[in-house]
Amino acid sequence: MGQKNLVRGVTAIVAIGGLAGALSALPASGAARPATVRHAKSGNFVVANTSSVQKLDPDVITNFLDFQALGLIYDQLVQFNQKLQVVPDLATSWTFSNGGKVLTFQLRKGVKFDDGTTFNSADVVASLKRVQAPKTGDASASFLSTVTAVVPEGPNAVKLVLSRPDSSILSGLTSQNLSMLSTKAIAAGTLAKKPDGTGPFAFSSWSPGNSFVVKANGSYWGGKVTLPTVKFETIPSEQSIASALEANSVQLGLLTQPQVANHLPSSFKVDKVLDLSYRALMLQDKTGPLANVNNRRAIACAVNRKQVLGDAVFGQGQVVGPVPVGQFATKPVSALCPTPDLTKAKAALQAAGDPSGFSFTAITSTDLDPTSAAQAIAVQSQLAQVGIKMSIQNLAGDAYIQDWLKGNFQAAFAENGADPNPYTMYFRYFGTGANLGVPAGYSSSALQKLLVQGDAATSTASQQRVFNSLSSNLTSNAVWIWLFDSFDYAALGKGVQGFTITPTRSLQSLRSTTVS
Amino acid sequence: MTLADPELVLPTEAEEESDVTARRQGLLSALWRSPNGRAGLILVGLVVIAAIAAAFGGTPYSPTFQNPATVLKSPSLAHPFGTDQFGRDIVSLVLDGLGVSLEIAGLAVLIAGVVGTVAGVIAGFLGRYVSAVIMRITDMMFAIPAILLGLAVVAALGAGWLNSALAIGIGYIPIFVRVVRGPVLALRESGYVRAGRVLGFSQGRLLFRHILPNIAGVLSVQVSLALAWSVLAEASLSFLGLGPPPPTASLGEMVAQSGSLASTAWWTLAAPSLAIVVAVIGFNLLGDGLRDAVDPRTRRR
Repeated sequence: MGQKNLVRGVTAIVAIGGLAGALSALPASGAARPATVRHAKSGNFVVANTSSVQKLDPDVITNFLDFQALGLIYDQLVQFNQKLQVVPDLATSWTFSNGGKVLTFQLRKGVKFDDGTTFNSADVVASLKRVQAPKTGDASASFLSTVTAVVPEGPNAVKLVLSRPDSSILSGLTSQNLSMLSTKAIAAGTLAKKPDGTGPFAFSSWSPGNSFVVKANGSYWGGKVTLPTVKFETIPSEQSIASALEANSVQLGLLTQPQVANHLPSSFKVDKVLDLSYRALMLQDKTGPLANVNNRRAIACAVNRKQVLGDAVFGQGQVVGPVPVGQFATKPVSALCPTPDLTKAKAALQAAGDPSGFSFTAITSTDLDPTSAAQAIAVQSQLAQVGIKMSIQNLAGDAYIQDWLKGNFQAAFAENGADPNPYTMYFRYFGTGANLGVPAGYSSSALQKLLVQGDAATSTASQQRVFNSLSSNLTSNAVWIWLFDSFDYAALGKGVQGFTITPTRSLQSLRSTTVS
Repeated sequence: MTLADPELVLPTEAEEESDVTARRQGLLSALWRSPNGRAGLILVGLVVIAAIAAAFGGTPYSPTFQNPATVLKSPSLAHPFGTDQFGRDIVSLVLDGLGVSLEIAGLAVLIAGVVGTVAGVIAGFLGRYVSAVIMRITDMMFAIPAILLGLAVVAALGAGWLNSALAIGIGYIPIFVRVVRGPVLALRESGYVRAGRVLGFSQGRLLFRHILPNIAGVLSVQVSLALAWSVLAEASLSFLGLGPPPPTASLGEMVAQSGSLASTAWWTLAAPSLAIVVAVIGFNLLGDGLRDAVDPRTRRR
């Protein structure tokens, strides 16, 4: 009997040990489905990310992976290069006239949409009108807030009439929410189901929550596309993406966690870039305890950004204010508390009439940003030091995006796209008629005025002055709590060559990527 | 048959009480005599002591205290299981997590045990129509794996301490119904219950004094095994991000979080995994030991 027990005991240990091992290899939190790691079929170039493609209409997307995936299908009039300068895309050149109030684009010839129609000025007019139509719900409609008319000048030129000189209009036009769409597809109303662009790849298939496949566009205007297909696969943990890379079932892993990216075997090439985005704790400032500016200030002073950066991404990045990059970058990062100050935080709580603190809930989505769990745990512990109780609610990616767009949260750990131009970044959140005013959760006439002043300023020095006031206004009112900017990592699978990662996260270089 | 028949002389209440006490004493010593039971008792004892210590603040450090100076330190005298990416002491976190796991597992088993036992007794003791209805519902619940049922319940109710317990508990109700109904069916037809019925004992007296004490052994085995599954189910739910949210310590969540650190900081994965293994093996062995102890065939040996 003793021997039988021993055998039973050993079997139990092996079984449970195996189960624990299997658990650790499974994808992490928020994922109620197993990782879909499959071996790449010949010719299938697999790009893996924890997130999944959420929507197909380029005008309404807000998820980073949607921008990356649809960025392979659609082109814009202009685009950013590696140095974040605006360079031609479907517009070959442009000129400002009439004191900066008219912007004329010359359009590229010989460009075809996937539906076979030829790109011309009518498509530009239809695309930009669709962006401006309120019923479209374009996430970046504010970028065209100064555009009063879009007029074709023959088939290969188009004129934008502006209400005032607008220094940010070009950087706004690089947005994928302002992609060039086919007049035919707009009329047919099929864009939400069947993408139809002019980019290096054409839409092939989409399995929501699982995969998104594009195929090479044989009539691409920019030359031959080397990869026949690119498949985006959702693998809900970055550790599993690393395993899939090692197993050669993934050719490109899009990662954010340095502890994963930096510990891949040395045979893997890992590119990294400080990306054009920022992490922030967005606050809904209209109701509840966060409507009180002093409560928000208490949060701003209690949060230790450097420690959050350390905990979430092992210090691989930089602490930032509202404007993370470029010549107008916010310095210091907060006008109120550039470094944590618990005494000031407690004084703010006292002034708010909540000396013992208050409670609120913050949402995260580890599907969309795997580092958000660690950010939340760090901030939660820091706020607890002054009596502020922050509950954490982790949501699946699609649920998070829905709640975020509806402003259905008290606080949200968010990763937002940045831009060298503060007007482009914030007019859509805080400007007059801002189309993301609901998730922004705050509005003030002072901010609206500063944004317009900054955009209309004629000299860099006066722009600098106005945008400094803008940053200062945002941080001293603790509108949101800006945290940090970190690196994006692209882990290249075996034999992958010719891929470069950009600060805008564009995957356009996939068109000339090869796999040996 | 007459009442003078020696086989049908019913014990007095005092005799019944002393018999139950004797059985209990016998059970404990039988449990200790079984190697499985002894190992189970020791492991479960350790886990329970650790959990109670954590509940009364007996951890070496505060489980939520984040120290930037001690981020990802390997095991040392100051931190026997090292520290995590927030500089928190892993021993303290694991002890706290064990406590939370036991609380959730305990409540889950209480829910499953009480609901399952009541339903099982009703199914076994009352008419066959009631029994048929209960057993068909049980069959339907059995068709869905307990962990999937748990996932569905948490997805519907939201993540949290109580919801985790409820989700796990509901999943394990059918097992208790099945385990209880069988013996109750057999006992219902046993000589002493039939005699009690002839003597006009109420249904309640028959149930609570003659049937329930006799299935206590089977139930105790089941409770111990269910605790093992529940600890594992709680860890699985937390691993998938459906357990109680931070700052509540949770072993499954610790395993999930440390997945990406396993190659650089193995101790962040080792300690919570070990705690889960010890708790699960402990309750399993205890269940095995109890089964040996209450099974008349193995007891005689």
